[in-house]
Amino acid sequence: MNFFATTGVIALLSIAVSTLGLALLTHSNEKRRRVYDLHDYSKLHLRKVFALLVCAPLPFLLFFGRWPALIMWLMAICLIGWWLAWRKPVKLTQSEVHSGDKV
Amino acid sequence: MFKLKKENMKRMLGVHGWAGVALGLLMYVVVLTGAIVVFGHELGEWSISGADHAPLTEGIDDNLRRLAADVPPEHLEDVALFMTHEGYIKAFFHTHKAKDGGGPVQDFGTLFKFNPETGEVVSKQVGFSSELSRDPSSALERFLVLLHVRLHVPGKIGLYLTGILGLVLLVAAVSGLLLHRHLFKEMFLSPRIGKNRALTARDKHNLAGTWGLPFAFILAFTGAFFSFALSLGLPIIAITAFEGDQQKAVDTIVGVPQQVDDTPALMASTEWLFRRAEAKERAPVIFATITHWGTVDAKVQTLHDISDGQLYPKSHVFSMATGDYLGTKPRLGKVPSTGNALVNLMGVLHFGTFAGLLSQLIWFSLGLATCYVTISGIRLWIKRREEEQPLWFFFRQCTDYVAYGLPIACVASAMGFFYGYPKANTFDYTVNGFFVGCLLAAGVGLAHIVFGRTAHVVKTDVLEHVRAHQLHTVPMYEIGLGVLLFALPWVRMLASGTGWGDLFAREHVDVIGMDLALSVAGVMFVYSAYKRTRKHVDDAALHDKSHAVLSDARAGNGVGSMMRNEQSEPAGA
Repeated sequence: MNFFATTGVIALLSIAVSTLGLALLTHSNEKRRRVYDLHDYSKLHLRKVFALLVCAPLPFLLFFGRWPALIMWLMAICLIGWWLAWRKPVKLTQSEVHSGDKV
Repeated sequence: MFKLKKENMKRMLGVHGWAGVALGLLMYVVVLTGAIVVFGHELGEWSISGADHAPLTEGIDDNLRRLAADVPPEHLEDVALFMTHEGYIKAFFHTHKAKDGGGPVQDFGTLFKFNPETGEVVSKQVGFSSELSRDPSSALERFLVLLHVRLHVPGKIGLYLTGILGLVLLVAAVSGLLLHRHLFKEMFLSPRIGKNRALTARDKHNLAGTWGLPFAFILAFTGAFFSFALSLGLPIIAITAFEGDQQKAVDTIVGVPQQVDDTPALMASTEWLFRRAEAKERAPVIFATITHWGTVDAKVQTLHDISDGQLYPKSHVFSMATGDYLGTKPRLGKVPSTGNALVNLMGVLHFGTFAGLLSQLIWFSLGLATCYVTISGIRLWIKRREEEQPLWFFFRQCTDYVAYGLPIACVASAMGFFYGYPKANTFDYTVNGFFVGCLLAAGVGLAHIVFGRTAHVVKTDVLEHVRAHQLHTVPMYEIGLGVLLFALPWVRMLASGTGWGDLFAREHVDVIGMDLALSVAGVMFVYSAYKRTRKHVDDAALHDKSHAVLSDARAGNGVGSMMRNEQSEPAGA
């Protein structure tokens, strides 16, 4: 079987695409930026595009019937989404951390 | 997301919290051991430092014919074939019958364990399947699997218990979903990190719970299904449709043919049939059954490893008398059905072993995430009550004890296995190791309870200091767990005499990978303990300093002096 058509590779590619989308969604999340006093991204209107990027692998996996890759992708984005949301925004300094108390 | 009235919200919080507090610790035991047994097979191979076994297709036919001639004819009704971790083949020639005193129908027959290369029979036992001694190399894997499946509670009660725990997880997940009003808005919000630790802990719990919801639903539903299917579902089906005959119900559900022609016939080569099955499935045979050996109705059914792109393994059936291919055999019934597909899908979603290492890693990580949500939830519930009702203090200690004591006991059980393996008594030593681990963790917990409670009652400065700095249990547990995890690969090497050089030569990179993973996990736990203690000490120092400033101010130096002291503090102190 072609290496690039194996379940593992397809799942990893799908996860990579969705991770990019999730990272952008996390970075541009309005509430997250407001809470951490970061520059407002709300005017960019790209959040729907980012959300589509997260879901982009879904139609391909469904169309080609790659069920193992589909299930792995679904579960992996839960894990990666958690990890990305858990992290503090990059620009945040130690003194800014305590501003979280205001929320 | 869901807008509930304040009263309903309170009720829902009560359901969520009490469900977790009442059975959360047992649920944690089931989920954590479930996460570990995702790697059950790998763990089994690692525990014996890698098995050098040939595929099930090698050297089986001649041995099987020889052994078939050595058993009573009634034992030829059914033959089960599988490989042990050590590379031996086990062949169980058996019939189905109840014990003399009555009871359910069981497999009764002759179990051979033989070397497929030399044909040497290592062991031969005759008896009921439940009474035959298990393979010593599978002790560790079996111990952890049974802890997950039935918490080692005998009979159906263990299955009922784990089924109920699955339902409790489902209740907690649904109530958690209803409680979280801003699920989508806050799913990207990182936990607030400030002076209010309770708030930070709640944020962390909410975030992990939000992202872990899909997995929690899947795990709870499929887990409850597997627990109740055999313990409750089968008897109900048997009572309603088969006049209480469970064996008849099983035979119908599985699709066992009722009419058998006993006319003797020559048997086709098992190896040849296995190779044909492997060519069809593009995956090796891992288990096989042969029914009605030596008759014209003899059939061989193979079960394969999951091939790439497949969700679950298929079974192929061949006639042993003619060598004809008879088609695939669904897990349930005789023809493919929606029910069969659903049961297979539930297996896929629950076990997470369908796509090798990647799917195993994802399921393992999600299992750990569910453990985190469970323990952090219980701690949150206790934290709110601990100050008012001292009894919760003990429950908090119990929570810490179970949270860290279980992994410590699991590591200790592996050490017990290594100690018992040369003595061929792995089952007893694995259990003993587990209890030693429990006692070790209990020692740490008890020390904290005794000193902690004494300090709480006496309120002397010395004991407060001990309580605050030196006997903080979590870092102690973490250090203990870290050291044991780091030591485990060394214990394996010492017990088996198999180092990494030998493993490289025998191409057992998986065993080396497991050693490395355990060592890294050990170092991470010790580092976490260091970080936690450091933070604790820094916080205590800050607290002491502000306490001194306040005392100074009260002594008459005035507010101005207090402000001067604050200004002179370094930034970020």
